[in-house]
Amino acid sequence: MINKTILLAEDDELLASLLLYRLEKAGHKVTLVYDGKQVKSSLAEGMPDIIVSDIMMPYFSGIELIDYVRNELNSMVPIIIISSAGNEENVLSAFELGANDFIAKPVSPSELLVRVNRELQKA
Amino acid sequence: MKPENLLNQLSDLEDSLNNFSFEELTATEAKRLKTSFDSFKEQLETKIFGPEPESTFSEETKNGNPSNIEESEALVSEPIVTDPENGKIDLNPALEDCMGDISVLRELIRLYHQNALEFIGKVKIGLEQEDLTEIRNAAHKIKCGLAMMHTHRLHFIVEQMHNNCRTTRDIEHLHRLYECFVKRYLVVAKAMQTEMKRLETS
Repeated sequence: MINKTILLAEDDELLASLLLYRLEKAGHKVTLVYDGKQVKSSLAEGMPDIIVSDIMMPYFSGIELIDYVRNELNSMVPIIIISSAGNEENVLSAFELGANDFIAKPVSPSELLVRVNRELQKA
Repeated sequence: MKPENLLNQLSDLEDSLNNFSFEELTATEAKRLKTSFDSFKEQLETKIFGPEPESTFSEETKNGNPSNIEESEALVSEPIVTDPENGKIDLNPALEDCMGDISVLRELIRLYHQNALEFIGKVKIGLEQEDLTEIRNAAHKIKCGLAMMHTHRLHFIVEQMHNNCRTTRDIEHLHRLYECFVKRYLVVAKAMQTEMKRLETS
């Protein structure tokens, strides 16, 4: 499971750097964005094989992102949501809107990689 | 204000949102808008539903950390010399996350310090202006990084600050937690430097 394109949307630079490193090391091509505006621009350029997004982002939340992808772009691209503990309500909303999976912070890069590959295999 | 007046105003606001484009916002404007909205939402929810129950606070501070205000107070007044993070930091789990690549770990540590200093600055201003939303947002942002680098005491202090902003809103206690964070951070930073040197030479 290599050479897949991943859109990684995460505004925490520390976490983003680590996840970017691990996903690229696993052979994936990762586009890293830090806020909702960049997410939209990136999606306008092309749909990735999978989206990994934080639930809380500037301009455009992870929840809005799922709604945008599923209902405006009509895409069924797998979406994995990253969420802080204590944010269960948002996670439920994310699943209702069509998120495929979620992972809680602090994120284990190895666990995320397993989840990403699993979703890519399903797709 | 009567509820119907508020409802009318909210309805007008909702209508005017149709003409609003977030893409024209600068980062600073977006942040101010979000802060203002969060504060309004919180006040409205408190008016309608009452303050959040204490149980939420306890629930969020479990996982092996002290789970009540007394323990939080104890942490603040605890002499720093007894803190297990004082003399030694174990960066091996973080290095494993970096697949043994020391240069990646070095970059993570740089970002860790950058985040910590940004947090200290934001909270200092937040405390001066008694802006609990700013403090809460800063706390939320840094939590993940503190946990990722296994600096659990610092993480716990920030968790207490985050909860305080949401529940008891005790500025004095926030001041104490902030001072405690700064002192412990300086010690942790030194310990981290020592551990990095050890890893680089081993």
